[in-house]
Formats: sequence, structure tokens, C-alpha cells
Amino acid sequence: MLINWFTMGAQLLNFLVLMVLLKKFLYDRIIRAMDEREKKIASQLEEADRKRQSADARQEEIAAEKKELDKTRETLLAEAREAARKEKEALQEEARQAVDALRQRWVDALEQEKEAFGKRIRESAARQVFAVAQKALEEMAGETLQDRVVERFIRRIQAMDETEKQALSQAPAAEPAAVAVVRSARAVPAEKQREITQWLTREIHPDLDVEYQPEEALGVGIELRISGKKVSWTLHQYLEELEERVLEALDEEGPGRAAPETGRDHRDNFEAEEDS
Amino acid sequence: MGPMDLKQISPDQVVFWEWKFISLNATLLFTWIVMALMVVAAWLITRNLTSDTRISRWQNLLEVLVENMRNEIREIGREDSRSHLVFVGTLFLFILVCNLLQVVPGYVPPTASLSTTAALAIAVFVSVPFFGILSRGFRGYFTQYLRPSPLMLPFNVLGELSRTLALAVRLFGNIMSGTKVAAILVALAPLFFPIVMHLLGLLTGVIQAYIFSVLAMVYIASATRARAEREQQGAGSTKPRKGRPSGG
Repeated sequence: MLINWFTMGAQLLNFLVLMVLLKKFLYDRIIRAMDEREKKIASQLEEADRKRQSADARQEEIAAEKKELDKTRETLLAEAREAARKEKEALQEEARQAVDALRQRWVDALEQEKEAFGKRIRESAARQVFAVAQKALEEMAGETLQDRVVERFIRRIQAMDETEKQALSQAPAAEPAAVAVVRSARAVPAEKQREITQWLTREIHPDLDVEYQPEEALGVGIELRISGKKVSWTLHQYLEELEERVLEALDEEGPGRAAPETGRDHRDNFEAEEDS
Repeated sequence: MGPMDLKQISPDQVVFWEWKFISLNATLLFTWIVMALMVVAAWLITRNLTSDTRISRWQNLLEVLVENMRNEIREIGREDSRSHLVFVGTLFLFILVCNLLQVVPGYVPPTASLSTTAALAIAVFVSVPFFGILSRGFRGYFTQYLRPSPLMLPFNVLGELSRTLALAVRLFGNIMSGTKVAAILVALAPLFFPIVMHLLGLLTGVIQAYIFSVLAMVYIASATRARAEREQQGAGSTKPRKGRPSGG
């Protein structure tokens, strides 16, 4: 018989003992170590995953922040550009206004000057005209003209009203030996002398002594003086009155008509300057 | 050469000390030596275990062994059971170490004794109903002997016995013959050939350890898995079938 029963029983026991010992020293410990390592690795993986997720989240956050920053920068730049543009426009507008004001002032001054110049020209022209006219008239004055002057003078005194006559007649009353002096550049013809003397003695005073004196300075014209009072008609005087009236007329209508034209001329000139 | 001569078939016959029926023979001696080696090695290695990612080579070796045994058991038994690992794994490691130490001169594997293999086969024979009852209950385990019909009871019982016997004799025959062939060859041609036969013996020893433990696991699995399979089948429409055995 190959089986030793005692040995068999002992081997069974040995096997049980070995099982218990190996369970204690081998299986439990090894499996525990493996499980722990597994857990550790799992937790490390989990940790890594969590870190990766947080890193991803952080990255997204940073990207969002960067985007926001970019947007803000864009906005700021746009605002700055807009502000600069407005500032530029304001400065340009200011400069334009300043230039306009300067130009306006200059235009005004120019216009005034032109007006004044035009006025001077007109006045001087008028004066020249009258001076020439007077000179021409005086040089050309002949018997006929003198006669006409005397005639006109006679008509003038004959046409005198009472108050004027009164003013003339007052003077001889204070001074009995009054003398009426008639002056003229050329001698008054005798018949005209008679007519004047007749009118004076009849209208002013019967005792009035009438003298006729030549006076070169008078030019074309005739003058009557009765102790300080004077009645006269001279070409010179007539022309002066005429000249005054002409100048008055020029002053009244000159600027009203001339100003727009001169103004336009200035503007045209100015614009032409700007273009060049 | 060894403690055995060629005429001795089993190391049981090499007796060092005897008192009445108690005898201290070579089988027990070498079994203790193997046990001591295994326990001391396990203790030495597992003394400084680490759960770090860097581990010692010895720890790595044990982890590979244990992990592969777990995987094999999981594949066969379809469940991850620590008690299965302890039983089947110890069977495998014990037989493996016993067989591999053949290369040591003067060593006689305890597995070359029919007493040892019978003891291991009996352990399997007992553990099958043990794990079966543990997982399926007393009635649940024993009713499987009445399937597919009560007429099959004798055959089922015979099957249990015969497969236990087969386990014991297969291991014994392989290892014993291996050692005998090696011993005979050493006597006939002391050079070269014994080395080849030793290599063959190592291969046979590893294969036998694997076969023994895998068969043990298959038997245990068939005892425990029947329940799981029936539960899977009866999940839908087997209410009356379930009520009958519990009622009877």
C-alpha cells in the first residue's frame, strides 16, 4: 500500500497550516499593498485630472481676461481718437474763426479806407472842377457877362423885401453922412449906375451918396456896402455855394451806392489772394 | 545519492523515526522544509512592502504571481473570492515549489508520495462542498447531485470520488515517475542525460502544479457557479420552479 495514513493526515494538516501562514504573510499583505497602490495611483490620477481641469479653467479665465483687456483697449483707443479728432476740429474751427475775424477786420478797414479815399477823390474832383470852372469863367468874362451880372444884381436888390431894405436903411439913419459904395472889377456902365443910384435914393435914403469904385479882387461880381452892411453877387460866391451843395449831394448818395460795389471788389481780391 | 534507493517508490518509505503508528519520514521532513522556505520567503519579502510606484524585485515577483493567480481564478470562477485565492493559490504554490526543488540534489519532492497527493486531493474533495455550501446553502448544494434526475445521484457521487482519486494519482504518478526516471538515468548515464530529464521534470512539475490547481478551481467553480447560472436563467420566468424546491 502506497498510502501511509498517518502521513496523509499530517500532510493535510501541514497544508492547512501552510494555507493559514501564507494567507497571513503573503496574500493579505500583497493584496493590501496592491490595493493601496491602486488607490494611490487612482487618487494621483484624480488629482492630476483635477489640476488639469483647474488649469484649463484658469486658462479660459485668462483668455477671457485678455479678450476683455483687448476690448477695453480698443474702446479707449477709439475714445482717444474721437477726442483727438474733436479737438482738432475745434482748433481748426477756432483758427478759422480767428482768420475770419482778422479778414473781416481787414476788409472793414480796407473798405473804410476805400470809402474815405473815394470821398477824398470825389471832393477833390468836385473842387478841381469848380476851380477850373471859376478860372475859366473869370478868364473868359467879358462886357456881356459883367452886364449880365450887374443886371442880375439890380434884379436882386429890386426883388428885396421890406425887412432886407429895412436892414440896409437902418445904418444910414445912425450915421447921416452915409455913403453907399458899389464895387466891381470892371466899371459899371453909366445907365446901370443911374438905375442903381435911383433905386438906392428912392428905396433906402434920399440923401445917400453913391460911389462907384473899381475892385480887381472881386473878379466877376458886384458888391454894395452901406456902412458895414453888404449885399453882393459874385461868381466866386455863387460857385462856392454850388460846390457846397454838390458836395452835400455826393455825401448823401455816394456811400449808399458805392459801398456794395467796393465790398464785392474787396472780396474778389481777397479770394483771389487765397487761391494763390 | 539521495535518501531513497531505486527500489523505494515513495519517500514515505524512508523513515527516520517511528513510534507506534507515528512515523517521521522523508515526505514530512521535506514538506516542512518546503513550508519553512515558503513562509520565511513570504515573510521576508512582505516585511518591507510598499505601496509606492517603485517596488523591489521580490515584491514585484510576488505581486505578479498573486495577480496572475487572481486573474486565473476570476476567469474560471467568474467571481473575485479571497478564500478561493487562498486555497487554490496555496495548492499551486505548494505543489510548484515542491516540484521545482527537484533540481536540488538529495531532495525528494513530497508530491512524489501518494500520501501527500491524496491529502491534497482530499482537501479539494472537502473544499468543493465547503465552498458550494458556503455560497449556495446546504440544500442548494446537495440538490445538484439530484440533477438532472435523482437517478443520477450514484453517478454524481462516483464522479466526485473518481475525480478526487484521479487528482491524487495524476500528480503522484507524474512526479514519482519523473524522479524515478531521473534517478535511473543518473545510474545509467551520469553525464548530460540526467540534465535533460531534470529539465523535463521541471516542465512536468510546473504543468502538474498548474493542472492540479486549475482542476481544483474548476471543481469549486462548478459547485458555486451553478447557483449563479440558475439565478441568471430564473431571473425572468422561473418563479414556480424556485418555489418547488423550497416548498418540498
